[in-house]
Amino acid sequence: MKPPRFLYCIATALFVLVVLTPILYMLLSLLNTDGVGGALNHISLFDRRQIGLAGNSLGTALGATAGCLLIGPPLAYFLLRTNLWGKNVLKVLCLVPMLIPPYVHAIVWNDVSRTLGDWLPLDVHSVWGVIFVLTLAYFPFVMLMALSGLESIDRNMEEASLLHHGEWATLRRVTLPLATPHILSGAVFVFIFAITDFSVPDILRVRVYPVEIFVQFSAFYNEAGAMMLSLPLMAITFLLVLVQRRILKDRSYVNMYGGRSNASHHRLGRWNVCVFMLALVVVGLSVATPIWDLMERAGALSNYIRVLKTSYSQILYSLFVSSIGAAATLFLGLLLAIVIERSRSEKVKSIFLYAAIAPLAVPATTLGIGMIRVWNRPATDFVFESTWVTVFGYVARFLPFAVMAIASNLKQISPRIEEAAALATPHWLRVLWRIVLPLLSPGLTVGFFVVLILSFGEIGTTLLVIPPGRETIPIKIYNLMHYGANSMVAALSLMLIVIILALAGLFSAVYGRLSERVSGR
Amino acid sequence: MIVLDGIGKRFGGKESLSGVSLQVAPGEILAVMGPSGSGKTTLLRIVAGFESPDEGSVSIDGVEATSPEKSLPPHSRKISMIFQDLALWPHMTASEQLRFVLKKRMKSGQEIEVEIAALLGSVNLHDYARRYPHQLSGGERQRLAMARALAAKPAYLLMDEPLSSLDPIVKDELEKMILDIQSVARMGIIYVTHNSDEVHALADRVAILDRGRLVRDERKDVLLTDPGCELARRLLRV
Repeated sequence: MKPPRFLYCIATALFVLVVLTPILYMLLSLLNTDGVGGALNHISLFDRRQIGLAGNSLGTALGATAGCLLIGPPLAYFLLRTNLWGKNVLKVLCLVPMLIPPYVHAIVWNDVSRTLGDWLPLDVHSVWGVIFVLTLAYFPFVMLMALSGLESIDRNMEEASLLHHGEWATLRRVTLPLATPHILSGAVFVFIFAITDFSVPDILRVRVYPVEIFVQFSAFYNEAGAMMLSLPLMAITFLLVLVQRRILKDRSYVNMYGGRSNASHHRLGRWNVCVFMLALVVVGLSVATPIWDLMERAGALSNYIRVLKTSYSQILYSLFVSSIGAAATLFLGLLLAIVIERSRSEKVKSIFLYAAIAPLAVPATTLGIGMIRVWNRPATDFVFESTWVTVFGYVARFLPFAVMAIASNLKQISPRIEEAAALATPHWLRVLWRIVLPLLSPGLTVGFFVVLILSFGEIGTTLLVIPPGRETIPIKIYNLMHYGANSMVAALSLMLIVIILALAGLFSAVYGRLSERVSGR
Repeated sequence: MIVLDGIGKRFGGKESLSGVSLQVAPGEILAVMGPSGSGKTTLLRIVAGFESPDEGSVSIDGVEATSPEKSLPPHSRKISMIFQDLALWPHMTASEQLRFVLKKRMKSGQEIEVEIAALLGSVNLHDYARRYPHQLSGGERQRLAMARALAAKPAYLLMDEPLSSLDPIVKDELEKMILDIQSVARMGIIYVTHNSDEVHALADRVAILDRGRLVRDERKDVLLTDPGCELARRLLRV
């Protein structure tokens, strides 16, 4: 059913206001009198220092992507298609690192390196250290995409091969090629996350573009310079976003109604021990080490109580602002997803699609600077000095994830269902309310919780735009870290992880119920 | 000969097959009919080795292939299968699909290429070697699936409603092709279908399943004169 014209207008107006204006403002600011020329006076993209910066940024992103590709897809295969011991528990444990914000991983390994000294065979304060930490934080993304790819493969495709060849030949010639678009798409995500990440390199003291952008803006007040530094980063990431869309074409990012997770045809035999041990090592480094290290540092129970007493307002504020942010992102994401999936014009679809995923290409710090420039003026002070500016920041940063989740779900709902409803009522909103939204409830739930969890741990944009007198938990952790309050940082980080895990548990329960009801299983 | 002896299978406490015993001789076409959910596809999947029975055993040419204790892997059973949705590999061209299967029994590249040309010729697809499945029509895809199944030179062929989505003209052509191939290759075929016309055209013997139980197993001519039960009468439109 074709969406009505007013939907396009509302979606465009909100998108331009909240997401596009700060980005465009930053780009256009380069054309001002002091613009490119002025920026180039401060920063040359081709001097030695900048080339080193580019090398570090590309090196960390490529390294983390390679690391995630090395761990994610094999894990997904073993967890889904084999008789690996304890695979259901391992599957849950392997998703946990994704729920621990990357800067918490960085805080932990920073501390582990201090404790172990030369015993740790890796200098965490180097490009390799950043690669290591980002790999631990992001491999579940590639694993999740690989799981989605494997679940979307028709069971008969693999069985048709098994009639003639064994499991390994089937894996190599049928399973892997069919899952490749999802795996590559996950890898592109990781590359983008890694190259735009500010927190991990900042904590581990490695110079990369997002850190330099932050320094140029906050230490030297060189806004044009910060923008100049953002340009190569935005160009690379936007190019990759386009590549990722091409790779994935019309495939869904996620399989909303669950796949055939019980279809384990590959018997590992004596390899079961080795694979199980390797999976345990991954879980040990990415889940057990952070939890153990933080617990060790947080110390006695009294420390937790002290932290809770001094931080409960920040916890509540974080939950409040993240929830509002997630709801607002979901609303705009829904409008855009409907336009993208249900518009009859391919041109309109493409324009909205690329616009919706473009914010992925913008580093959090650049977005923060753009938001300050747009909203910090007398006429819009009521936004800039309120919680709304943080909410807008979350919408602008995480809109692509909401759009992807909802559009994936919408793709799996036949337009014929809406057409059948349109025969019964002429009102589009009634069809949306009674037919589309109930069927979309799993996608909306995924979108809401993904944005909620990401917003809850967000730091790059919040650090720049949060109004005076307000503090989220990540900001508090960041501030405490710079004051050297180690035990408080650890206790608060643990609380942050516990709250995110609780949100994930709530999501799992709600999502399971909704997708069961919608798919009729 | 494929011998199924007392096959029983449950899914989550629900009985899918119970005490099914059947035999298929080389060169024979056994049509398996039954209402939706009667266990036809589960029976094929147990013969192929994709499912293990909870009770009973399957032996193929005297070798025990499946029992609750052990299971021969699908690729060691001398069996091919044509799936209901054909399950053609979307990332391989017609010739690549055949090459992948032929590599199991042939080593020389030249020998494989000759065999690919012969197989594509046998199903009238000589000019389609470099086409991907999405570039073929429904009937052409069906023929490619047939060629892929034959490439392994199986002793037995399992067919799961292979003609269900085709128009009557293409269906007639393919029925004829199945009979031609069968007369040359002398394979045993288990043919699952809902369609009485296909049974009339192809089957030597007919087995009828109802809620997981075998209710009839007779030669086609016997069953057509004496269906013996209301379900057989309705399925065969006697």
